[in-house]
Amino acid sequence: MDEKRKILIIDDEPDLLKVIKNRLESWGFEVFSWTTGAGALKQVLEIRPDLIILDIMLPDINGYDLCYKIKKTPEISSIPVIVATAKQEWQEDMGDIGRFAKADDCIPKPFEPDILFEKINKLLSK
Amino acid sequence: MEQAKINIIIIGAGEKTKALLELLHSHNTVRILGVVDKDSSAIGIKCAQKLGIPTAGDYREFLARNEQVEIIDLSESKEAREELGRLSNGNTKVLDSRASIIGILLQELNDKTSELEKIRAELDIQSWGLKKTNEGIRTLYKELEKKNEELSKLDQLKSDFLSTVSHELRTPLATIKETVLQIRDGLLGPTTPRQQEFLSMCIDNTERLRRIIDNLLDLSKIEAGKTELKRKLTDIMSLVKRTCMTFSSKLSSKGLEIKINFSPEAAEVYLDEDKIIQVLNNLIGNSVKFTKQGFIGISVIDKGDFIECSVSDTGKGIREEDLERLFSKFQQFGQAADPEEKGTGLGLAISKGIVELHRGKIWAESKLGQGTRFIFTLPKYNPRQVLKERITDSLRAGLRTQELISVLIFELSGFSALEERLGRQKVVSFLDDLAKMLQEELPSRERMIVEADAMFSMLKETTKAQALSLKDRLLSCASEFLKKKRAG
Repeated sequence: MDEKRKILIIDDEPDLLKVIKNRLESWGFEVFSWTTGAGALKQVLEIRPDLIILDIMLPDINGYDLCYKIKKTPEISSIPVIVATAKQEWQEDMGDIGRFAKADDCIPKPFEPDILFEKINKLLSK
Repeated sequence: MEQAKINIIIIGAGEKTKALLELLHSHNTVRILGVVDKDSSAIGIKCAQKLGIPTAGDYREFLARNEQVEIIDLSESKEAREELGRLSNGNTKVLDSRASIIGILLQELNDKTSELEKIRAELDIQSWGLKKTNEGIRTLYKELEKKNEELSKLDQLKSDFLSTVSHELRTPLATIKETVLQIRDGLLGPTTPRQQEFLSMCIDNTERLRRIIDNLLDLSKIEAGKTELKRKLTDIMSLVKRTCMTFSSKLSSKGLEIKINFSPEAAEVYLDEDKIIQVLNNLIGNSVKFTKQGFIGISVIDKGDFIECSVSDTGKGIREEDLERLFSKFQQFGQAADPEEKGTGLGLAISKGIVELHRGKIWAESKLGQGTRFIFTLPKYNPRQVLKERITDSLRAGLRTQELISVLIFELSGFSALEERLGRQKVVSFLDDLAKMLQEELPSRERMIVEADAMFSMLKETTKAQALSLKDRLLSCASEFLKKKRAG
């Protein structure tokens, strides 16, 4: 299968989106980005990515709510979601809210590229 | 100016005289010129002599010409009365025995009363003063209460602020770090070794900045009392051993030895593993950082009610006057050579906060040139104590925030019968399994505490209805567990 795997990043920081996109492309992924909660679900439905990286602090919606919505939409519920957060309490969040929102994994910001790579590969090889 | 005194002569020296002498001899308005009695061994004469009052057989001895004298006749003899009756003139006055005593006593009473009045007036003034002071204190107290409220609001603002700030700082940091990493890693084209070196420096410092932000937030949470410990029963020995292992490569690369001294038995402490690892990392990290040669000593000693952990080194030591500042914020006493190892100046303050949250103590001992030893203690697990702490903490928090708390208590019926049938160990391990299973159902910050035949758990911010529904869930979980056990 030579077709590139698709990753959708949803984050409100255009600069960060740009650099992460560059990093993911260097790993051979096809990368799509979106900066708001509004329309994000529609994007997922249209693009049908293989994986989603979702910032939980979006300006218009709580990322966990969006994650929950994705996981409740049958056509896209199987797409793995990695929630990204710059909050220090990310581990605590993952324990309670993350489990509830059915996110597949979580990564703190700033990213460690190696760790992100590992997490993505683990979820995609499932 | 001396007060004018009444001169008196007392005739007769019986019991009455004695009583009168005792009453009057120190009285400052009366001067007793003498006591008269023919019987020189009479009780009144003896008393007068003892008090230094002159005595005589005849009253005339005490009459001087220019003095006003009052004679009190207590002799009760007709003869004396008749003679004295004749004597009365301008200077000498003879008083009826009863009247005169009453007069003197009345005088005394008057004096006393006016004295009492004076005291009462003073007391009135004092009590008025006290009342005023009281009012002052009450006003002050109210002001303090208000200030306190303002302070706790400020505290809340501060911790909200720090939490937001840390998020806001971390977001651009993420972009900066990732950008520089990509340039260094050559994603945007080739770089020279010198450029690489500088870019690495940049990355190290973003890392350092991130550590500072993390630590600042950690500390501000501890200071605001917002750190929730996720405690569970942990074997402290194995925890320390595991943490030591993570330092082994660093130690061997610096050529440092590690010396370990552990109590032989495992000891369970009710602790937040991540937080205690943070403390150990901090202490061991510091020791490794500041020790050029020699060894790092790590000991965990069971001291009965508590566990004492210590990390010692053969570094250059800390001056005695610096020891007490050691645990304050932004105090750094050593210079790490490697920028990657540069501290944040917050590590020890955080460690202190964490140890104290566990109700332990932390301190340092050092001799300049010989090394430093950091010691911290943790109380050993005691289910009753832990439950008590949880209840007090929750009540305090509940009172402060007006939030709800619930306490769940499960009592196991037939515990002693089971114990007899299966043996204590088996029942206890059975209960532990059950508690672990029930734990899954609880919010992650809450713990099931098992003691003998009961299990406890505190539920913060939980209404009665929520607690009841949780109870149902736990009960069905327990009965499932029992079914499985029976089948097994």
